[in-house]
Amino acid sequence: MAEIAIKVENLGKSYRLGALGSATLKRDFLSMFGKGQNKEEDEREILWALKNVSFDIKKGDAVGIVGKNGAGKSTLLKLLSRTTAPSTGSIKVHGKISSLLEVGTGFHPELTGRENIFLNGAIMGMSKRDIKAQFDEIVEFSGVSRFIDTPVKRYSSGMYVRLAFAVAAHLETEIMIIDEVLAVGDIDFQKKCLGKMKEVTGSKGRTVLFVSHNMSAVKALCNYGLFLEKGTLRTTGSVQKVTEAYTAANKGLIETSELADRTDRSGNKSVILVDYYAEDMVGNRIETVLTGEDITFCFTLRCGPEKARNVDFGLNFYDPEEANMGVLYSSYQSVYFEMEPHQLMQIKCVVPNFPFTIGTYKVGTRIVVNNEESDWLLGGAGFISVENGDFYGTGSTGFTHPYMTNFLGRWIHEVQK
Amino acid sequence: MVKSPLEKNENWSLEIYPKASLFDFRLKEFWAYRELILLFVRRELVPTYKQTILGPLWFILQPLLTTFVYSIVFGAFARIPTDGLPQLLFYMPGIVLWNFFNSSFMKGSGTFLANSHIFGKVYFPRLILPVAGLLSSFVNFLIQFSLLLLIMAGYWIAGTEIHPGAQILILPLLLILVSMYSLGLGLVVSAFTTKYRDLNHFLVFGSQLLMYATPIIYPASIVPDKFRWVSLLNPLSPIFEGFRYSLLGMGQLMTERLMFSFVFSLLLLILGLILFSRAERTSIDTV
Repeated sequence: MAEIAIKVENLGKSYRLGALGSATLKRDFLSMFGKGQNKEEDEREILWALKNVSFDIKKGDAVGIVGKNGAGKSTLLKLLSRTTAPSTGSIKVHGKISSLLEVGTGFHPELTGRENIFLNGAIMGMSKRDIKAQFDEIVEFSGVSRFIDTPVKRYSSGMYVRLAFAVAAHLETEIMIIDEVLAVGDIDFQKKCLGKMKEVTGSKGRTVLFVSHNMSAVKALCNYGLFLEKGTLRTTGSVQKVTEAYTAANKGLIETSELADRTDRSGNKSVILVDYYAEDMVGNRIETVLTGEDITFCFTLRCGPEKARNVDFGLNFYDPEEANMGVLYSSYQSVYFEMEPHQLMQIKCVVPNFPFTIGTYKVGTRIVVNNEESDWLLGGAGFISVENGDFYGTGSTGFTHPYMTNFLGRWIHEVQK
Repeated sequence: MVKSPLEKNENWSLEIYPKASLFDFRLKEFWAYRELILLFVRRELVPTYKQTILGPLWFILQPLLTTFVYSIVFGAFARIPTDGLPQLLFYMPGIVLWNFFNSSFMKGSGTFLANSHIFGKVYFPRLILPVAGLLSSFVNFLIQFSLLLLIMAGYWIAGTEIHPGAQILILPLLLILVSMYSLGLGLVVSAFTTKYRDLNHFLVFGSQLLMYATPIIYPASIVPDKFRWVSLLNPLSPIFEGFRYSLLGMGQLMTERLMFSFVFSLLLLILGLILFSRAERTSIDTV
């Protein structure tokens, strides 16, 4: 039997709802004298962010923790990384644990890169000796060696993040808790980060917990998974099983909720998406399209209290592993929209000869107003199912693998002498 | 619950439960992180010197200017007696020691509010920060104290009647008392600020009140009987009087009341540690 690195039993975390104020003082006083409020009222005020969660993690496992926003992922991370204490249950750990929930924790802008490496390393639990031994490597990895004795407030944000990640990447503890937000910076550096994470998760005897929304990253990095939903553990098991369960659950959820009420969005909300559906060429709403058919994607936008000029609408398609299959912004075709305050507007985008093969694609949307992000639905606007169809207009369905992109060619031939 | 024999003898390196025992301050863990204390001290000190034209001079100028203001307002205008000492020599020790106390106390009491962004992301014994605050305040104190010694030497050479001597040996004890008291008080207040933010607003006012209750701008000897109880209840009074005594040989050394200050500070420190280690477990939930 493999050795257990983390044993979590009956773990729960509750938060008291509502503002802290004079009521808090009164309640604390009353409870001090054993006169708590009646229990019912107390129950209503308490939110269980995590409840009755139990699992074991074997030494050397790379565990992906998945779940929607608010499912309890961050709470679980906080408890494991000891930034807050649980309300019930216990966590037992074998070996030194370190958490990377954020890079550059404790960085001080007035201190130099060198000074910050030591401070940040020590905050994360590295000893001075460890940091010294790895100092050159850290500096090289960050690529800011020329500025190592410059205060970090003079760094560009890219340099800052690279230096911060470099320190984090050289932490060497037996158990590591990593948040996906760590993969930051430009594309090249992101690749470097993911490579480093792969190296970390692959190294022998190291246990890694990795939190992510990105199913392809989870699949690539992890061998085991935990799927949290509404504070409880929904599925555990192989990473394959868990990511599939997550994708299936996510799909059902998005279909049933009102777009305008969704909270999983970012942007300044000057224009937001309030409705999405797809229709065929005669105007019937459809949920399934054949590859090669023409399809119209219809989006309803609502303008905020201020007039919006230069509204740029983008849509894209994801496969179940969250890999982006293709992006189209109206601006690519020099199309912008203009909206009056509080106006509703429907934008239709006709896509002729739909190129993707069989599968269920998530439709992502993002609205940009005057080059600033206005509304981006993180969980996607909806789904479109695709069945193999007559893409080539010849009756051939072609190469029928799921989640592929078809394309047409012009064939020319010439006999060589 | 039946446990498998394998689990029975598990030797976990870390166990996390909802509650810890009252006196579990995890000092061993604190010691393991000692390198971090020095780095935090550095983090507090270095930025104050960087990018200022006068740099560390500010630490010297501040008590000098304050002394100057006090000499005019309380000395020349209000004519508060100074135990027969030159005003500069009377006010400055109190100001320097008060700066030490106040800075350490303020840093300690702000622990949870000022560092919530760090505490939310990574674990280390939170006690490190108030202790680092105490130490960095002490470094600043040493700078100001050296200036005070220089000024004293100046007066002494000029023939002013002061009596430095063996009583200076109690000085380290007084500094330990101030450290204990400021740390203890800071821990208690910081533990309460996690829930009751009002305290934070009261702090500046409260510390001012405490300053006037302490013999800094007046000698303990002129406190009218009606207000003696304030001075008796304030553990800082005998410390500040004693500080002046140990340096200048003037004023009173109130041994019994110093004993009271010691016991009070010790109890406060223990109470502070209890409240602080309870608060640190869930501070980020409420801050």
